[in-house]
Order: sequence, then structure tokens, then C-alpha cells
Amino acid sequence: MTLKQTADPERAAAPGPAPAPRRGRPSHRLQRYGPAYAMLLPFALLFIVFLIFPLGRSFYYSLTDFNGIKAPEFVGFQNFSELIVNDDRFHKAIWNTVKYVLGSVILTIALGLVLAIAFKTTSLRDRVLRTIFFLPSVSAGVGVILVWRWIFMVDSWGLGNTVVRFFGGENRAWLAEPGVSIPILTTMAVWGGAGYAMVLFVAGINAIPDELYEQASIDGASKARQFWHITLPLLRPVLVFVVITSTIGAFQIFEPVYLLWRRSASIVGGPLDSALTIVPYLYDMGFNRFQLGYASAIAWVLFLIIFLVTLVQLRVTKTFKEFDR
Amino acid sequence: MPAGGPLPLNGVNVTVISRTKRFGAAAAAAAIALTAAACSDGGGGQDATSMEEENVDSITVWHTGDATQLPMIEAVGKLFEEEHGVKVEVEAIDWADAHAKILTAIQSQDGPDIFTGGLSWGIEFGELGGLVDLRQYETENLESNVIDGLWQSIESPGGELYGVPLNMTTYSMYYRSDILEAEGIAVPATWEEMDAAITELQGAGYATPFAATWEPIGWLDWFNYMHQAGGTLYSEDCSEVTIDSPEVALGTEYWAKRFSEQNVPTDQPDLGAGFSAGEYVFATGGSWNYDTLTVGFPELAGKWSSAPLPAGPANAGSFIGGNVMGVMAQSEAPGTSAAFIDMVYSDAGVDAMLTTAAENNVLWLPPRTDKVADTHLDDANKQALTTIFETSVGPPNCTGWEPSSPDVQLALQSIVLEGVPVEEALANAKTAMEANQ
Repeated sequence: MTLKQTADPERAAAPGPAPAPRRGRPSHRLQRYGPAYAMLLPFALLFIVFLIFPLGRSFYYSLTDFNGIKAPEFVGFQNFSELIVNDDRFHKAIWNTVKYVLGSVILTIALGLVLAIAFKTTSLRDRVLRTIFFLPSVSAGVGVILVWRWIFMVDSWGLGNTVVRFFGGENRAWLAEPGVSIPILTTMAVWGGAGYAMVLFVAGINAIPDELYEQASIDGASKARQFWHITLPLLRPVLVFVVITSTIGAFQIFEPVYLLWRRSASIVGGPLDSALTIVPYLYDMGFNRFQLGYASAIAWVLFLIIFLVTLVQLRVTKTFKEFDR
Repeated sequence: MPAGGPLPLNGVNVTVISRTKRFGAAAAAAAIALTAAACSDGGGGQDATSMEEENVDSITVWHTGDATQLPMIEAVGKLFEEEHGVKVEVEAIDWADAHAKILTAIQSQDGPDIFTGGLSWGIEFGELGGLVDLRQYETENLESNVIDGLWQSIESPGGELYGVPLNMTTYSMYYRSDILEAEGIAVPATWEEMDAAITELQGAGYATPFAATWEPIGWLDWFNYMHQAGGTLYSEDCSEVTIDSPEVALGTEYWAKRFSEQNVPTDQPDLGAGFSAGEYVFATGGSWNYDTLTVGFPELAGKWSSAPLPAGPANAGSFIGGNVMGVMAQSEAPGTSAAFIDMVYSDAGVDAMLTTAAENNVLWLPPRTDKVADTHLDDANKQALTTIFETSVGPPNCTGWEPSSPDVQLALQSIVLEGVPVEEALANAKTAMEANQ
């Protein structure tokens, strides 16, 4: 019996179609729902003032030429067309972001899944190792990024170069080589995110009834077949959650780019913009170049991209679910 | 002189606050930008008022930089308060966030009375309507004491003076004097001598004899060589972009050659540790390295010194920067604020800053070059800095340079990292600069 049913026992007991809800007198409705609305009001006000209003203003500014000081000048969809058609830096930022999202999400999930399967039990060893793998997720963000910058320093005593030299290589200027910018960001993301994904996957795996695996073993199914036909399908809700939240987070990458490569007040994006992703570009246009209308247009394009990608992910997941039936 | 007339000097209070960096995601950034923008107007065009008319108890300074620099401004603030009864409150804001914070203050009409920031920010914010023209006020100590090489960076094309230097930062060439002596190499004074010294040191087993420690593949480092070769970014009246001139090309060729032929690292190395390990023999870098080497690496005492950057075929000299300070347009005490800025340039103000710097063992290069000799550096380094300031030049004041500098930097990086021909890269840079003119 659900809460809804217990709230209206007459309707729950009556056979046939449910009667239409009665429209009580306004005073009755106010008496009945008033406290609920009153309790919702503070949140609704905050929601409107700090989310709905800025979003609305943001969309308005995306249609203007606005430098933050002088009055905005309406330009229609010119910012959007300029972004999509002519802006090479934006195209580069999109491409860099796509490479980063694909690399970081796929590798984070794959490694998280492997770790979850390897360390899913409640034994002391598994608990200790899970804690160790989870630690990067709770480490302070800025501090960790600065440690990564130290690892990739150009001097021969930097950790990265020490390892390279140990294997006979030569010093590299890691943060000044365009070809390794996205791999560095991806490495940092996987290192920081795999432990978090592992914890979610462990919870999901441990919720799968053991009987299914026992039955499959009796039927002669190998471990690999058990993984593909039991673990993965039943882990789908957790997998969808991890994929969607990781993807959204990856699209919004900002701090590592800003802290690893920003060397002066007006430059972001690393050598040859090799680390320029969408949000740092938004920041660059908005806060370095005062093009707040243009920056707002970038924000809306980013929103649309994330919205569409999430929609596709949900749709694909639903399709698989229907296919399984 | 506009309405209001000359202002007598009055006093001010200074307060220092550290701000943590806050980064948000796209929606948050857009929301901040939009909310901040909502209450904007032109600003900047107010009548000059005198300190007496304003009659304020305190003024506020936002200083872009680290907290170690605050005591120097506070020292002048104390003087100002003693003399004029106005307290000066100084707050520190981080370099990385300062530009956005000051812009937000300008557009929200809610911020400090005085800001300090990047050298080019005075013209940039002034032309946006965010700063007052200091020439509206009596600032007798300013005009005669700003060094020649900086006027082109702080005076707007229209002749307004939106900001003046608070302190100075310049490129010096640091070197391991003991290694040069052991190898019998004289301190190079020209490009040719530098090339010869590097070749000799590489022959002696130094794999990386030269390091550039201040944005090696950025426009700042390149600016030195471009200037030494006789190049400029714009014509004198700012009407023409001249970055594709033969002189600029010559300087750019030399700048790029250092990475490809002399093994100069393309990323910023740790100068102190590199000197200490004997890995680098020469390094170009900002003047903060005097403190880094002195305080951070006492074992190097007597083993290093500094000199001006080697001269090119046309000029000696190097880039000069530092903090500029100006009065915010929304300030309710612009006259008082201008008087405080004027005091920074007075003998008493500079002496107070240098005394405080010496007490804190911090190098503070005052905006008056005649006072460099009063810093706590040793004689050789004082002499080097004095020579450097005689030939230093700041960035151009031409409209469009600030937003163009990232594009110029990308073009320069394409030469070093992708092998793009110099002429082609400079042509790309010129296109970007002309688009911003």
C-alpha cells in the first residue's frame, strides 16, 4: 500500500475508474495547501532570484553586444552565428572538449568498473584498497592540481621528467607541448574520478542477488558471460547515473586548465590553445575580453550541448532496455 | 584645470584582505557576468572635487598582488593618515582574479577608491569609463617622476592619465658568476656575445645553459628581442600595426632560434633550484627573482649576479611592467584618492615604502628610478637595475593591444611549437591586431 492510497482510503477501496478530483472552495484549498506553498516559498524565491532570473538575463545578453559597462546593444542571434560559423577558437575549444569528455568518461568508467569488480567484497583488504582508490575524490581540488603541475614541471627534478630520465628519455616541457595537453587533463580526471565511480559500482554490484550468479555457474556460464549477461545489465541504472554525471562534469572542466596553464592575467588555454575547452573559453571572452554577450552565448551553447548529449544517453539507455525485453 | 581646482594633499587608511579563488561552472560564470552587468552605465565623467569638499574618513585600496607587498602601501597610508587624517584601508587581491574583480567593481559601481593592477589596465579600464583622469587633480609629484619608458604605457592615446605605476617589474639577466669565472667567459652584452657564451658552455657540458623563466613562449619574453631588434608593435600614433616589419621579424627569428638551437626550455623553469643545481648558467626573469635567489637560496650567496639583457642590433633594453594605480570612477573621494597616489611619489612616500621593504626583506622597486639606489640590493645588482631602467620600455598604449595580446601569443607559439614561418605568423598576428583596432 502506497502513501497515496492510504491518504485516500475511500478511493483505494472503490472499484472502477477513479473519480475526478473535487474542486473545493478556494478557502478550503488555501487551508489545505497553504502551509505547503508557504514552506515552498523561500526555496521558490531563491530559485527564481538566483537561477531563473540569471538564466533569463543570460539569454537576453546572449542576444546583445555587451561589454559589461556600456548599455547592451541588441544584435539578435549574431553571437550564435559568429560562434558556430566563424570562431576558430570556439571550434577548437569544442573539439578539445569532445576529446577530453570521451577520454575521461570512458576511461574513468572502465577503470572504476574494473576496480569495483576486483575489490567488491567486505574483506579488510578490499575495504582498505577501496579507501585508497577513493582518496583522490576527496582530496582538495586546487591543491591536487598544483601537485600535478609540480609533477609536470619542466626541470629535470620534476617527477614526470625523473621517471622519463629513469627510462633513458630526455627532459620534456610537458605543459608546453600541445600534443600532451588533453592526455594530461584526461589522466588527472581518471585519477581523480575512478575511485568515485568504483564506490558507486560496488554498491550496484553488491545489490545484485548472488542467486543469479550461482544459477549461472550451475548452468556452466563463464565469469565473462556472467559479467556481460548478469552484472552489466543489472548495473545499468548505476552505469547511466555515472555516465551522465561524469559527462556533464567533463563538459564543464575549468579549474585544471586554469591552474595548469594560466601564466598571466590575460592568457588561458595552454600552448596553442591545446588545452582550451568550452568553459575556459567562456571565461576568457567574458572576463578577459569583456565580451559578456558573446560569453553568454557560449554558455547557452554549452547548455544545449550538455542537454542534447544527456538526452541521447537517456534515449540510448531506454532503447537498450526495450531491446532486452 | 577642471572645476574643483587644485587639491591639497590629505591622508588616507589602507586595509589588506586575501581572497580565495572561486571557480564556477558555465552557468555560474554566465550568471555572475550577467548579474554584474545589469547595473552598468558610462561612469568616469565626474567633476573633480577637493579633499576638503569630500571630507571623508577613509579610502580603500585594492592591491593586486601578494600579501608581502601590502606593508609598503600601508606605510604610505600611515603617512597619509598622519598628515591628512584620512585612513587608508588596503586589501590584497590575487593576480589571477584581479582583472575580473575590478571589472565587476566598475560595472557594479561598488568597489574601492583606488585599484592597483597590470600596467595596461589603466588605459583599458579608463577607456571603459571606470577610472578618473588623474590630470584633473593636482598631482605634482607624478608628472616629473614617471620614467620615460613607461609613459607610452600609461598615457591614453587621448592624453588622459588614468593610472601611474605603483612599483616596477622588469626583465633582468641573472647568471652564475662563479661558473662564468671558472669557464673564463665574460658577461655577454650583445646577442653575438650571448650566442658565443652559450656555445662555449654547451661545449663544456652544460646541456641547458640558458633558461627563460618569465613566459618563455609568451609575448612578454618575445617583446624584449623584438624591441632590441628595433621593432615596434604599432606606429607612433597607433594608426598602423607594425608587427610585420623587418625589424620585428629579425627579433622574432632570434627569439625562436633560442628554443630550437640553444635548448632553451619552452616552459617556465624553477630559476633558483636550477641555479642551485648548476643546471642553468644564464636566466632571464622578472625582478622578483632578486628576492627568490637571496632569500630562498642562501647557499648561492656570492655565486650569482645580474645584468641587463644583451643588446640587439638596434637597442638595448627590456620590457618593464609592474602595478599601475588609479582612482575608480565610482569613488566618492576621487580628490582624496588622487592625493594619496601623489604621496606615493613624494620623497617621504618612497622612503616609507623602501624602509618597510628593507625591514621585511622584500625587494620593492619604487616608481622613481632615482630611488633604486636606496633599495637593499648589493651594489652590483643596484647598478644593473639602474642601467636596465634607463632603457626599459613598457607595452604600447594603443587601443586594441590588450585584447590582441593573446592572439599575438598564439601566433608566436605557432613559430616555436609548429614551425610556422616567422613572416606567416607575424602576418596572422597583424590580422588579429588590426581587427581589434
